[in-house]
Amino acid sequence: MQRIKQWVTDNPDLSFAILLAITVYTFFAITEPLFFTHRTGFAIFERFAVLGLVGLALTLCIIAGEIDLSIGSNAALAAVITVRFTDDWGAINALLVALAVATSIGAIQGYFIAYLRIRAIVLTVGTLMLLRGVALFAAEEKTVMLTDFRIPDFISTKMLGYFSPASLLVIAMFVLVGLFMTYTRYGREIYAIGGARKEALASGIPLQRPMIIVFAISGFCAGLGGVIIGLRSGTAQALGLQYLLLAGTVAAFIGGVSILGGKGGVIGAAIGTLTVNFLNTGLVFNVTPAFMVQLYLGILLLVVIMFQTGSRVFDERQRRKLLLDDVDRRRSIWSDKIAEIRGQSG
Amino acid sequence: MTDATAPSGQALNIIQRITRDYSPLVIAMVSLFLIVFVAGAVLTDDFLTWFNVKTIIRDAALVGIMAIGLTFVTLSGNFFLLSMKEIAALSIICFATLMGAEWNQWGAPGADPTTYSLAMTFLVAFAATMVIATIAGALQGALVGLGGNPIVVPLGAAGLFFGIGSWWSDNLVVSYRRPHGAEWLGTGSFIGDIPNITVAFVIIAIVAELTLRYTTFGRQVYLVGANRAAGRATGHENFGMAIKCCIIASLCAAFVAVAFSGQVSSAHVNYFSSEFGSSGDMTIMVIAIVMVGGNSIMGGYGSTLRTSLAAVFISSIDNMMVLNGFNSGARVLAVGLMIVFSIVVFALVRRGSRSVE
Amino acid sequence: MAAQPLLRLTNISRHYGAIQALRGASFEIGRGEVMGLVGENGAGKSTMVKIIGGFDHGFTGEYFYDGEVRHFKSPTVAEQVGISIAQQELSLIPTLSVAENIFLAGDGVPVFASRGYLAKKAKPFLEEVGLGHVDPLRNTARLSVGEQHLVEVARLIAHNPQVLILDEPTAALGETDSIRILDMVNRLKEGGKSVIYVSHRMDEIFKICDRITVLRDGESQAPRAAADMDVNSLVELMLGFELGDMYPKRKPVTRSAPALKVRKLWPDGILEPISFDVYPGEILGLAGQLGSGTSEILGAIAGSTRTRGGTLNYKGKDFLPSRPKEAIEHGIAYCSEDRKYDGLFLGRPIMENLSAPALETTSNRGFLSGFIYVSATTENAVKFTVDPKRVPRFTRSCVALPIRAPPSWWRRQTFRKSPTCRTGSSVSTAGSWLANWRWKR
Repeated sequence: MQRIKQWVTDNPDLSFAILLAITVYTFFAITEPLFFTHRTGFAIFERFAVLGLVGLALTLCIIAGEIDLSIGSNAALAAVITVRFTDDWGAINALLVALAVATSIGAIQGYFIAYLRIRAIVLTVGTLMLLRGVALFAAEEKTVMLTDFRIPDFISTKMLGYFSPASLLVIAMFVLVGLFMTYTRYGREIYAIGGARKEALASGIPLQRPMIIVFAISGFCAGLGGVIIGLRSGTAQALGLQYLLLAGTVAAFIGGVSILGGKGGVIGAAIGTLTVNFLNTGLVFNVTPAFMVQLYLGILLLVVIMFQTGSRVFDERQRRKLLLDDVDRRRSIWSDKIAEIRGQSG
Repeated sequence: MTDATAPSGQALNIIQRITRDYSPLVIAMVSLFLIVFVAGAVLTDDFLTWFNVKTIIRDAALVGIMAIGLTFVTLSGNFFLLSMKEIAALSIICFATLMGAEWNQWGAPGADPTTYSLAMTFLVAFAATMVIATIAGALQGALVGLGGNPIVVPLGAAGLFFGIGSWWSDNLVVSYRRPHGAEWLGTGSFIGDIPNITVAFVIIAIVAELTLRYTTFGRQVYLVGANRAAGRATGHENFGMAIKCCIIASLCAAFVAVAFSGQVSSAHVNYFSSEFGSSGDMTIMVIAIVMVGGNSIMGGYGSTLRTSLAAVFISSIDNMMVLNGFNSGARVLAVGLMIVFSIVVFALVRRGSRSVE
Repeated sequence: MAAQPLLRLTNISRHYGAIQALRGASFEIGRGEVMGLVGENGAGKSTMVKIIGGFDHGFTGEYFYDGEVRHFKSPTVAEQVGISIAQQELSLIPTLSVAENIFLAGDGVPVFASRGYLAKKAKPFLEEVGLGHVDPLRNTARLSVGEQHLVEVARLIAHNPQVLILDEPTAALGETDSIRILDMVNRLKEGGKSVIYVSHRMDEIFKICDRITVLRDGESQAPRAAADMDVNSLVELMLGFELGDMYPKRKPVTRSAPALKVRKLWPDGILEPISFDVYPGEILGLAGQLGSGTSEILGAIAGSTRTRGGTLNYKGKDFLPSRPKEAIEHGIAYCSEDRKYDGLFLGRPIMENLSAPALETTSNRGFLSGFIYVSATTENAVKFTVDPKRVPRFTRSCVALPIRAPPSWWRRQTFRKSPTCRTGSSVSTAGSWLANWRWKR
């Protein structure tokens, strides 16, 4: 019990994220009888697949002190490439090409962000639009569609009750990236450049390596997400998938990532995504219109912000209290010495 | 920014200053771009006509006004107000609802509307919309000024405002009949055939720039943006700045919402979302324009004049593409390319000057 | 001492824009030697140290290490060769643990490692610097500043350097921690390592350095044995003249009625509330070791440090500023310690910097009045030999001092609280500043 308490105090944001997730899930499980079924679970994990990827990617970016605004466009481009060229090249080749393109786009962005020493938000504002244009080109302004619908069926096969090839793949990604961030030196570099950019560079960390890695992962996740959506639904629109950026960012924050960078983790990303998914799916049961979902998401985000701000304020107060307590303690220890000094200066 | 004299004390002419201050790469890139742009301008039919110039500025007006408002927020070091699109959505619903509201029809019932009644309807709706926008801006500004994160707080507020707007309008299109009191802004023109919205854009741009340059408030915006800690030490706190700048940005968003509503005599929460213009949703466009203007994202450097010029610049690129018959894919690509290009050039310039330290 | 020095730099020149940081300076150090590097601020110490550590390639001159000419492309390369530097500013990542900070970058860092493994590896180095009691998995932000500096040094020695550069290592340390550092330097020397010790603390320099190199105005003196010098001769070498006539004569002060009465002021972190009086025309010195409360007192008077109580009485009014704005309104001007952080608006013209605290006075109902503004700022700028049209981006911190101080002139203030104002400014500038200030009063 004591250890749990200690862990909660050490990881307030993550604990709150877990609490939120459980709360939201329980709320819907109680109010909606159909919520607590296998099929809902499956639907949740299906949704989790794409949103989870984006949430993971954006969590990584925010940990590194940056953000990838082009993730939606990147995903849309990947979807378009996959769907458009499946008929010509076969699904496997098409999706491999899409993944390669998406990852390279990410890596190139990471390189320029490091080389030009600019904030990622500045560059990705432009690339967001640039990639949309490229996607429009690739799709030749139309909505592209698959002709062979066996593939979407395969992608959505139920496995182990809740999962499909897509969601299993995504879970594997989470595990891999999580291990990478926690147990490798390159993962720590990412935490470093986000936590304290100036100090990290002063310690000798080259900016390019972690930046390229982060944005390459982001590109890969965007690409994989686009591929999954494209193959699953059998269609792709060049201008679509823009909601992924906002949804992914909300998921990342709900998962406890700190906007200041350097803090957060893959587990938080997963939990944040799950919470958003619970909310989404639960509201679908309620036949809530899409705009209300936005409203609830906004409220959820504000709740998380208030909690994070509150815990920061609490931290500040604690620190001041510790400082003052320490001062008082030293006063009582040194009271004789103080009197002596006073007597001397007289 | 830097001295106009060489170390030896002689005054340098403009060519020498350019070669001294900017790296060869930057000069090459900018020159190449200028050649392409000028060639395009000259070779495109109807580009360099008075009518086309008016079109360019008019197309830039709406996003330009919003971008000018956002510039205040950016200059003060509070990044971007990511909720501008949603504030506009809420404002447009508020405005349209009030324009069409029964209780807001002045003059005799059933009779033809007089100038007076039109004006009153408009003024009431306009005032209420501005009030709502002010509150929205002040709330966000206060939270950010108190230490809330300037990216996340507007993000959350965005969902909130959008939801309120949707709920208020039941996600339906709200429309009101012509003639109505907003026509003069939306589609009218007082001065010759220059649309009023263009005039509004120009006036707002001028007023904004003058404010930044010559008033105490404007100076404070720059100082707090340049160094928040130093600003606090010299008596200028970010709390007040954040509130005021967010209010300005929100008012600009609301103004644009009113003007657009006046054009189409209706409103829907999604008017400013994804498909506004071919290039992307409003927030992204507005942010891009601020960036293309070379305003520093960290604050303290830039101006609304640059933003206004950037808006016109982007609009002219889009316009040139349209005149040349390119489809929307190419246009989006070109605009995106221009944005990335401008960002890269500004980054290179800043990088070059920083390495001297 | 080996015949061939391990590290030798000759004829090094480096300029930043119009400012010449080093002019043909030289430096050398032998194996197993502790070389002190001293000079007043602005003499070029930081520049020299950066060049030695491989952080700076924009210099001209020769760089010999271990007999070969070297040109380090980055500090990482220098570190691989064995030259490590512990800078004055901390470069620890607060969000990571101590062990992760120690093994962050460089050669000895394993690619795959768990935090526990890094903690085990870090233990011996933490003990070396006297932090054996600290849990390596502890979050770095939770340590005291002194402990953080020691962690930084631990990080350095974890990479087994041949030449260790310590830039003001004890500036932020109390007595016990400083002694630990000195002991560690001695141990390194016995182990055959070379240490470049940059410091202002004369007692430490003479305690552990074998030889001392003096930098003055970008030029270097030949290194002298520490045994051959004493504090006075060293200071004379640093300044180039005797200290005596630098500062203007003191004017007589009538101590009849205090201008500022400080009563029971109790800033956070200070043991006891403090009271004192300051008389008109007087310059009151506050002296004390780091942590004794000097900066905190000034911060409290300036409104930027939180307090637990106390009152100031100035011009008959009782108040306690909770924000700098209030202090300014009451007539107090504050010149901070780290002017790059909160003293300057870098990138804005000097004129804007000068008028920043007094915008109300230079404006007319919200509009900046060009006339008052320009004339007032120019008058003060000239007094401090600063060109008001320039942009402080290229101005070194020694000019930052006067830029921050004057804006209060036309507010008819009689107070200036300036902690360690001389930090970063050369003696001559400080002298002229003091002379100006006295003249105004």
